[in-house]
Amino acid sequence: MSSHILTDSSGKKVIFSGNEAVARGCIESGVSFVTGYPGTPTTPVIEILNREKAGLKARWAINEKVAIDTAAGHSWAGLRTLVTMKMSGLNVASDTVLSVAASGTVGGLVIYVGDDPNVYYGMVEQDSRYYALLASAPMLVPANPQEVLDFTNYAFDLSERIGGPVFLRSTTVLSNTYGRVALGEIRRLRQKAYFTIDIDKYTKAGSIRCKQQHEDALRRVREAEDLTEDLNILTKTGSKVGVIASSLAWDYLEEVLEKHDLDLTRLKVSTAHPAPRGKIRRLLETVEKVLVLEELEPIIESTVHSEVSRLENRPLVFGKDDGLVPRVGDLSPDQVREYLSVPLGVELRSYPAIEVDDNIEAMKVQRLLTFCAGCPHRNSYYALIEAMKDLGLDPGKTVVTGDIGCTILGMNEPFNICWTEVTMGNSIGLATGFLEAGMKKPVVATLGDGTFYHAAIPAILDAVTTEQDLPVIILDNNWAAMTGYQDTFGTINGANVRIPIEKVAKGIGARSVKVVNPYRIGKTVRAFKSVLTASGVNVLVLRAPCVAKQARKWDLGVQVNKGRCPGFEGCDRTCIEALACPAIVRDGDQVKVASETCMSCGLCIHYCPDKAVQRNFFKLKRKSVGI
Amino acid sequence: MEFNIVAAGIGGQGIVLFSEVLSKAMLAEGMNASFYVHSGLAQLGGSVRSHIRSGGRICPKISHGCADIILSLEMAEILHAVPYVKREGTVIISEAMRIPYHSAMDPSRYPTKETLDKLFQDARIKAVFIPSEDIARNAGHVQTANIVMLGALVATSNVVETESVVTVIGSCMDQNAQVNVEAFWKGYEFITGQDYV
Repeated sequence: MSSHILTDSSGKKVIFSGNEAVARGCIESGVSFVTGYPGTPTTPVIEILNREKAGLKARWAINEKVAIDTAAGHSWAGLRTLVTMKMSGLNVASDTVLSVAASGTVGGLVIYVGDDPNVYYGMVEQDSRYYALLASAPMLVPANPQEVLDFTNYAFDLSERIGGPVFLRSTTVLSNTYGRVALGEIRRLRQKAYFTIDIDKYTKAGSIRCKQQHEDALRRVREAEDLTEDLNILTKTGSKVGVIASSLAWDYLEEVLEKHDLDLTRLKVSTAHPAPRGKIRRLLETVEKVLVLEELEPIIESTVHSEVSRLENRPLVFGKDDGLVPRVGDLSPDQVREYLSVPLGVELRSYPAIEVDDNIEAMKVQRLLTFCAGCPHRNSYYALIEAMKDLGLDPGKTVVTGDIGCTILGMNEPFNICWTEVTMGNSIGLATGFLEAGMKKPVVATLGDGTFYHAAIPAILDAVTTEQDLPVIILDNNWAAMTGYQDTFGTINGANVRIPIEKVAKGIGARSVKVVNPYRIGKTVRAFKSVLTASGVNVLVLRAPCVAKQARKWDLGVQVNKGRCPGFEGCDRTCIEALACPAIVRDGDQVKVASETCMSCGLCIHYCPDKAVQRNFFKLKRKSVGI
Repeated sequence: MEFNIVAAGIGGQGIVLFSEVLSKAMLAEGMNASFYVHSGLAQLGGSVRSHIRSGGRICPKISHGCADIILSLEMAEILHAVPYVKREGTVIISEAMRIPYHSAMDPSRYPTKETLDKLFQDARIKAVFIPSEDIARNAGHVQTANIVMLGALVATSNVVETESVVTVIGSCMDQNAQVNVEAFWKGYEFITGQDYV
């Protein structure tokens, strides 16, 4: 899909997603370095640049803070740099972001952050636009893929004009929207690294320097307000009702206005910070009512309220403050039509849908998020529960902290074993907290290989040095799998020098470190029993590569012996219920193995109390590898 | 002219490729085109939807009651697209089923073809069922079921010319182009009932 990114010339029209537009923008702007940490919806930018061998350096960092640290180094050496992360990642990076925003930059530095209004992927529903206010740095909020490209290019120029970082903010829907984009020219910049000593700018030594840096950051924002004036577009039509809209809400508004043949006074806001105060004021002076449309928090709206307060004839503001537009979830053209009806005082007609049974919601199929067929994590959690039962522990009463990534699916049926999911690497510190609070032992921490390198290492050091009795279970599937198999620092044959988990764990003082293959169920259960009863911090690495990443070459012929399978009526707990493996499907009252899906992991063979699931080696055959 | 399609399916069925081929064919014919993929954690078998649009000014999301066609690559997933279809719209449903955990234990938690057919009949709207995975296996590979559905869509709507689709498939899928072109024509002729030359 992204074959155009490198080569296509200026003026050509292509279909690009928001993420592809950012990647193209990096190339058009002559960027030298792109870094970040995988996190939906921004992950594809670095993936595309790497795949296309774009002639610039693009690489994943160990976490978002290190990413922005490294990016700042490139910028201060005079090179154009983009750093990408999801909104949660910006929280991790924020310490450096604020400090660099105060110091200012040299080479253009753009922070591309993706928010997730409506929480399509999980994590806190937060509005990262607040970071622009917090850091006193401008933030551009494009409304469609073409604007994503244009604003990426513009952001680098703006960053170098004002001498500070610029945020580029997308949302899940925008990043996943593929639209027509006219490409721009590729600029080739000849940049050579240099860095000059400037203590006042590059250190935080002393009150005078820091206050001066604060002043400088505020001055940069004022400059940006003048420079970005043309990005915010005011259309005055003389209507009594006006609308101020930002990002996708603007797109939805335009569609509603066109469909209902309305020509209202309206302002498109493309800069979340600094808000275009002048144009907001000019709009407010001509209307009696104003509707403010933005996703998540009332950020533009608060500026609108502050400008309204300065007027003698104060228009009525409709938006989040009065509860009309929700702060939770995202927007749609249907919602915008509904909200616009309120200040207009007429109900804008909706489109006739088909009349169907009211029961349709109940008919929708619930799809349990579970491990893929053959996933090593399924075996790991299965073995953990077996080990607890063997030790006389109640799996429903033993606290197991979970972490971010595929490993957290242990919280769902049928395992219901992970109790918490907070932030990257949090499982360790949280478990330490539970132990210190006096919770009954064992308290178990589980996490993946990605989260281990990202943020768990200091927390394990903390548990070691405070002498906790903590089993740390690391489910190592060789990649950051959930975001699309990015290499970690433990990936075998990966892009980075490999520092295996066990080496790190020993180095930071774990009492014992053991690596076990979770497909060997008996051995895994024994390893669990040993760490659950040991004192000190004991690390168990359950290592097997993600199955979804591997091409299956062999079908080991796992099949159900119909003569032995007692069926749903006769079985206490069927393999479908106990394992939730997508490769085991219902066949009348019995079960069968779907050979197109089965990865031959053998867990069902181990599980079946009636020994009805068997390998049939006569069926051993080469698989047709997926196309 | 504005034309809206809501396609539904689950992760791994190739809804992005389906949308990409269609919108690129639209673009090649000089139309404005866009699609928006609503996915969530679809990699793990969750629901995916795509809003595919062509015509004048387009925002990513299609309004309720505005889709000319709703289509699903997995039978039950069509339910997610129902609010979008116009009264005079068309419904195209793949007979491919992915039975999830709770439905496997309790088969009443997965709708039958008859239930779905009746739902659309009662709404006085035509639903076409396509055995897309059987057709795809015949065409050469079960994974081309998404392109079989694209053939059915093009045959039903004439939203783009068949040649444009074939050209796009040829340009964006190097070694698998042939099997996908075959799948496209098989889906197309399933609707038209005609052998292609």
